Amino acid sequence: MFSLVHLVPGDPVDVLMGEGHSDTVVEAALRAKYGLDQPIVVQYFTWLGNILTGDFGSSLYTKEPILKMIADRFPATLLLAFASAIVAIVISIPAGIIAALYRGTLLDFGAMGVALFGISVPNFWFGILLILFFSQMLCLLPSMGHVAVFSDPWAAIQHLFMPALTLGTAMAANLTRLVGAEMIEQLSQDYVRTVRAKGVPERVVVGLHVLKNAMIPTVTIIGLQFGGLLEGAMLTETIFAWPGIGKLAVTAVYERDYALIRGVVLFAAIVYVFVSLLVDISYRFLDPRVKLK
Amino acid sequence: MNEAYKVDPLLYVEGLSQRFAVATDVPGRPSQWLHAVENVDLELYPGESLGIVGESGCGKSTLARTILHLYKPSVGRVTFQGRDVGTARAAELAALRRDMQIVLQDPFGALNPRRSVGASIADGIKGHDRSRKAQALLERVGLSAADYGRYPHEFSGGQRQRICIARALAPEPKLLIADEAVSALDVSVQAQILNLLGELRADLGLSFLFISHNLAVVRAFCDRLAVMYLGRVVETGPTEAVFTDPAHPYTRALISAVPIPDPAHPGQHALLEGEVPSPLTPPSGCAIRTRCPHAVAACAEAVPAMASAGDGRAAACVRLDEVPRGPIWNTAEGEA
Amino acid sequence: MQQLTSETRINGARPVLTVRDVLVRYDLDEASIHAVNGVSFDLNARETFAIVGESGSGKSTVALSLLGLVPVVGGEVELDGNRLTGMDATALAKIRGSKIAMIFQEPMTSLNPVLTVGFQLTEAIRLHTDMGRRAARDHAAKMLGRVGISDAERRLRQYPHELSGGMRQRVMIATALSCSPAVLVADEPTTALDVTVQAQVLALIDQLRDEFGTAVVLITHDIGVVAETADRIAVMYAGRIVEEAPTAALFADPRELYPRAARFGPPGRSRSRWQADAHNGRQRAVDAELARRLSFPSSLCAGDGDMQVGTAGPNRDAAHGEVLAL
Ligand SMILES: Nc1ncnc2c1ncn2[C@@H]1O[C@H](COP(=O)(O)OP(=O)(O)OP(=O)(O)O)[C@@H](O)[C@H]1O
Ligand SMILES: Nc1ncnc2c1ncn2[C@@H]1O[C@H](COP(=O)(O)OP(=O)(O)OP(=O)(O)O)[C@@H](O)[C@H]1O
Ligand SMILES: [Mg+2]
Ligand SMILES: [Mg+2]
Repeated sequence: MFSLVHLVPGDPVDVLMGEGHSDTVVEAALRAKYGLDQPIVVQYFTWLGNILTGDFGSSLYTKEPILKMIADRFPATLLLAFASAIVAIVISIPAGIIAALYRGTLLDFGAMGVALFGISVPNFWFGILLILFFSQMLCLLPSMGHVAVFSDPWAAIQHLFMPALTLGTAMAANLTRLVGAEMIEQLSQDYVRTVRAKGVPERVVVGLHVLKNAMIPTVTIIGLQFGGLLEGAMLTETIFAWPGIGKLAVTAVYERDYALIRGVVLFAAIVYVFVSLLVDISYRFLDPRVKLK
Repeated sequence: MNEAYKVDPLLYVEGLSQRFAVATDVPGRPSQWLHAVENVDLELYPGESLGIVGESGCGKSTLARTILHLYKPSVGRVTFQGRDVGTARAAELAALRRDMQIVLQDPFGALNPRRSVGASIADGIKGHDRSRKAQALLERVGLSAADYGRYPHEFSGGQRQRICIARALAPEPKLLIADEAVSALDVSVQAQILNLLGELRADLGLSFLFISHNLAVVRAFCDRLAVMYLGRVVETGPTEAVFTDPAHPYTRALISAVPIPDPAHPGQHALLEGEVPSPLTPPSGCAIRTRCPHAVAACAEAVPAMASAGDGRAAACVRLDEVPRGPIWNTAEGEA
Repeated sequence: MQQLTSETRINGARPVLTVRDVLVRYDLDEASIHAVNGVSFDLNARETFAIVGESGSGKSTVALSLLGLVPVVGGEVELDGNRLTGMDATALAKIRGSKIAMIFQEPMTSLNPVLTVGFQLTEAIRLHTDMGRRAARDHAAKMLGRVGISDAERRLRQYPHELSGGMRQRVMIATALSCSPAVLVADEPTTALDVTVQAQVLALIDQLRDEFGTAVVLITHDIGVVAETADRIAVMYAGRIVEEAPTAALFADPRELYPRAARFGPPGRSRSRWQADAHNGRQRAVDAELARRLSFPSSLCAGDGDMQVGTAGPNRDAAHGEVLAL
């Protein structure tokens, strides 16, 4: 990751000094200040040392401490991510169940068609479509920005609606197929017969017994897709001018703000690890065969 | 029988114990242990078949899994082909496991539901021409080559068991641990499978650890027997000797409970009285004493050690010399 | 019920379960398996009807069809005057578990792995009786005790994987018996049990029969169990019942039933025997009629006592030609 950032053409000092600058002395001073005159390997270890002491450094561009920049924007991204995950779950679990229960019927094809649509439609296009429809044509929803939940919950939800839907449907598409396949597999298991033989109504058979088993792999995928969610957040946040980490990262890339890019990516990685941990812990509750060591 | 073998044992189990934590206190520390297997010693020679019988829940499956180190033993050591299985590294362990295959009691759990049974069997086969060999194996266990592409849930209970047997035989192991491997089979198929296993045993020197509740099958198939009760081995010896003259009170009760294939003699069994003790709170001393008709005060004092009971047999009972002996199903015998 | 069978006329009672010409097919991708091809029988209250037959002959499929757990493409099943075939799902669910219950063949996989034993046991009790949570749990614990599982309170809190195979099977048995059904369908109910526990479970089923008049369809390959519990026996082959008779009659004529008991000694262990029999084993798979004969009465060798313990031991000596003369 570290070296990748440096492979991108462009130089932060150029950006800082503006197009067509010529003052080589200032440039050298700037480079020295940010340690950019050092070989990459040295830069890497300096950075690593700082990270280990909790110092993410500060932005090359705005001079703000990176940790603070991230902390400012993270709540917005977290809100968006959770809202999208909820959208994804609310869509995909019923859709997956329907696809499994009515396998081979029109309902199944319908659910899978929607899923396929969700996968093949690019995020940004769907987002723009939503803006056109809800904001331009119906004038129902604000097309951009974000309102803190605590200040005005209703406005916050209105702002949240379209980005969450955009991001959530992308995730829902994959999840629907997974839940569908998993339900079908679980329905052929022996225990399902036992439950039916007990006279348990079909909705409980599917909604409790089968679903609880199908959730085990599903939760893993949700966890894995969380990484994808952060990645998708970049585009979505840009489209909807959502002031989150994704947008911060995009800005950082434009400005060749190495320090900031590194900080954001590292932060995303930490979040990812944290989510994986959550998934592992949730296993303990879903699957009694897994013992937390 | 043992003097016939001048070779080292293929499998050597020393002091093996397996405990499960069944309750934890608040910080997640185990606070109560279930002793599923306690201090088991076994040895198995090449080409030999050792039967393991005992009450349901006495720890037979756990013993099998612990021998394979599918569960790490709490205490004890397993030596296979002269190698300590516990200290073997991952690659070595994989190689050892190829040589000791298991047919699990759960015939479905061992098969990947998303793969055809043929593919599952072919995985274990060495060399090329795997699918043809897999088809041949399917035929040998009484299925047809056309079943190759079918999925596990499409088979009957007995068919699944035979698929598992074929899968375990595919890598040409030296030891086969069969945990209730023929329990779902009818008599003729059972005979066919046992014939197949017997053939492999005679031709290739395949050894067996044969866990079964079906005493007739055990009697027909095994050279030696180990009888377990509540995690411990209570009697061992040559099969015929144990069957005709069981020494341990539990063995006697077990053999007398076999249903007799004659409607004129329904339910004449000397069943064990009393409640089955819990492995969580086993009785002190000899675990069977709470249900044993011959129990005395001394039985509660210490776990009895294995002692010779004649005919190459050993049993763990303090009153070995006082318990009545001799064949036990004479009532039916006299009139049949 | 116009066409009463001889058996029902003897008892003078109306059968609790009537099965007429049931057909079941499994559709695979390229072919369909005709698993049950027109099975009919009647079952009276308090009666134990045993079904025996070789592996894959369709016994389990018949059992499943009685509860409507496989699609029945033809024929009908009637329980207490109610047609189960073609009944709508809600009505069927009310009958399953309360009037007709089933013990499944696969003890290891027939419980839901992610729910506790207690939940799975009490589920049926709470559905079909008006017991509260506490009462249902007590009843469940009592049922576990009756199938010989000690420490029932703790076992209720455990998950299936923490139980041994035989314990899982007994949990399933306890579940099926917990609502005292009118008909119990038991598919190899004791395969994972040792003989002592098996005897206890069979005694429990007997008790249920006496107490509630439960009729039992018992599928087993254990001829000892058949002899001790069944009133009538049906032999299945290739999806059909090919033979049906009262147990006493089948066991009464030794020449018919013990074809080789007098002629052969106890099974030996010589190598040539093994090989000869292995050959016969293969031969058997080919010769369908022979296989049918062997799958049932082969091990009933009451000869010199050696196979007395033989519940359903392998019959290595069978098929030496004489049997063909049956
Ligand atoms: N994973 C586990 N966690 C907790 N307890 C377990 C676990 N596996 C087995 N046990 C307990 O260990 C004991 C022995 O179980 P095991 O499966 O070895 O019995 P078994 O002799 O194979 O019985 P069966 O003949 O019924 O299959 C039982 O009391 C069981 O509840
Ligand atoms: N779900 C399924 N899909 C396809 N075929 C099946 C399915 N279940 C069973 N069969 C086939 O139907 C036939 C009858 O199976 P069934 O389970 O009724 O046999 P069984 O008499 O109970 O045998 P066993 O004694 O081995 O349990 C077998 O050939 C089996 O392969
Ligand atoms: Mg077991
Ligand atoms: Mg079956």
